[in-house]
Amino acid sequence: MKHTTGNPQVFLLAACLLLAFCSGCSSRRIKNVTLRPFGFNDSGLKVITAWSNDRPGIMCTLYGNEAAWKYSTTAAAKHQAGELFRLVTYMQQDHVLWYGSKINGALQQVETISFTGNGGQPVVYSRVYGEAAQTGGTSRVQDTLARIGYITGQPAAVFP
Amino acid sequence: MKLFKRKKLLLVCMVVASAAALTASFIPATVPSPPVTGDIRIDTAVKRLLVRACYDCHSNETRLSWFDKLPLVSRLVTKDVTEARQHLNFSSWDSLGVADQKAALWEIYNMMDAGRMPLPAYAALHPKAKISASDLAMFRLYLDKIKAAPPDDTAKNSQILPVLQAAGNANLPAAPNGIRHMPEYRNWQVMSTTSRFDNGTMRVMYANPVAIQAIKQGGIHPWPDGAVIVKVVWQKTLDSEGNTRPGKLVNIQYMVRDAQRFKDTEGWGFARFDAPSLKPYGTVLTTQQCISCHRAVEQTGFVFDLPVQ
Repeated sequence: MKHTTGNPQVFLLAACLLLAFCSGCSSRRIKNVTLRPFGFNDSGLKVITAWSNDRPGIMCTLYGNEAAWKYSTTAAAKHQAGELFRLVTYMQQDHVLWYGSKINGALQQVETISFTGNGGQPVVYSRVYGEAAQTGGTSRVQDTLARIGYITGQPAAVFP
Repeated sequence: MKLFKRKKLLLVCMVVASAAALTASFIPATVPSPPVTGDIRIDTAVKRLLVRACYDCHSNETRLSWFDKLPLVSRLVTKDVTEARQHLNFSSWDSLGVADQKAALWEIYNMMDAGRMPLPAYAALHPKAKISASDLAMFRLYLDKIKAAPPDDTAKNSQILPVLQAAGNANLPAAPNGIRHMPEYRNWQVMSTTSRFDNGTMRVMYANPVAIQAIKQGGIHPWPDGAVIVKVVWQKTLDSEGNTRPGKLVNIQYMVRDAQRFKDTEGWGFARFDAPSLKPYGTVLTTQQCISCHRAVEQTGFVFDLPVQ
């Protein structure tokens, strides 16, 4: 008489083989990513604060040297000679590896403000754009007082 | 002669023990079915997806296929289900706080999106559990509805900074695994910045010189020992111009690379210090939770926040 229930061990063996086969051909989605080269080297400057804006789709990081950092964290009344602020603006992009987050993308521009005299004047302001930001090109902007005030007036974030 | 008898007795004992172990292994294990105490209440379509793809392992309503009940296989299945329920159990979803429930949903989505969950071998044997692009799109639409709204100004910067600066190196907080807070991170290079709409936080990520060098040279498979990545996390604030800014400090998080010391967590040690006092978070076991999520990004050496093209 032919057995119709089969040997459990045969089932077991078949299941193991099936598991091994299917594991090998499963459709796991691995996202291949290419790291973005650093567009900006902060050269030892400290982060004062950072912000983003979804309307133009940008992410900004404001850096400063020790003097600028001190100005921002103590809310000093007047600027001092030697303060250097640098605002780095990136395009914002979706975070490929975590849905639920935006991350900085391509470098858009770097603005630098240097205070060369006590009391807030005179200042040097420069702005470089996009690829130029990586090569060191500069372009002077004349009407910049409001921009300088905006950048240097940013309150510092708390860094533990 | 006595020696021969002893050896014979020992041999018999070994044979009996082996036979008993072998027999026991062929007795199917049973997945326990504790009561459902607080099932997840969620959008119907999302619930259907979770039931189809996750419930067999991540709930008390496990439905086994015939081959899951086979001897040996059933033991593996029982072990997997037990571990899965410990990590996340939809049958006791109510035991999670609201914030943790939301965080879990985003994690579930991202694990699915990364192809980590359901486990590839499980999905291969249980085709109903496979996740399609339309499943992900539907889930994403739901998440977009529950994403965090930026709170009003929550910045309370006044007394925190001086207190933290006053602490000497000897008093720096240390996590249960020994990782200490490293204030020198402020002089490290920024690796990336992120703005999270899943939980309403924003972050600045720093990398120490070892980590930066590894990134620049493409040497992150694996990351070198000594690499450290720091993440400072704030609640978001939103101003009238649409700028999202750092508000209240939430915590600072660390990933420290030491392949030998942290071999159980892919070579990374994790630590978190909660504001305002930088209280170390979790236990030595917390790092297992960390790496279980970070395993979704094996392609970047288990680091999420690297800017990519």
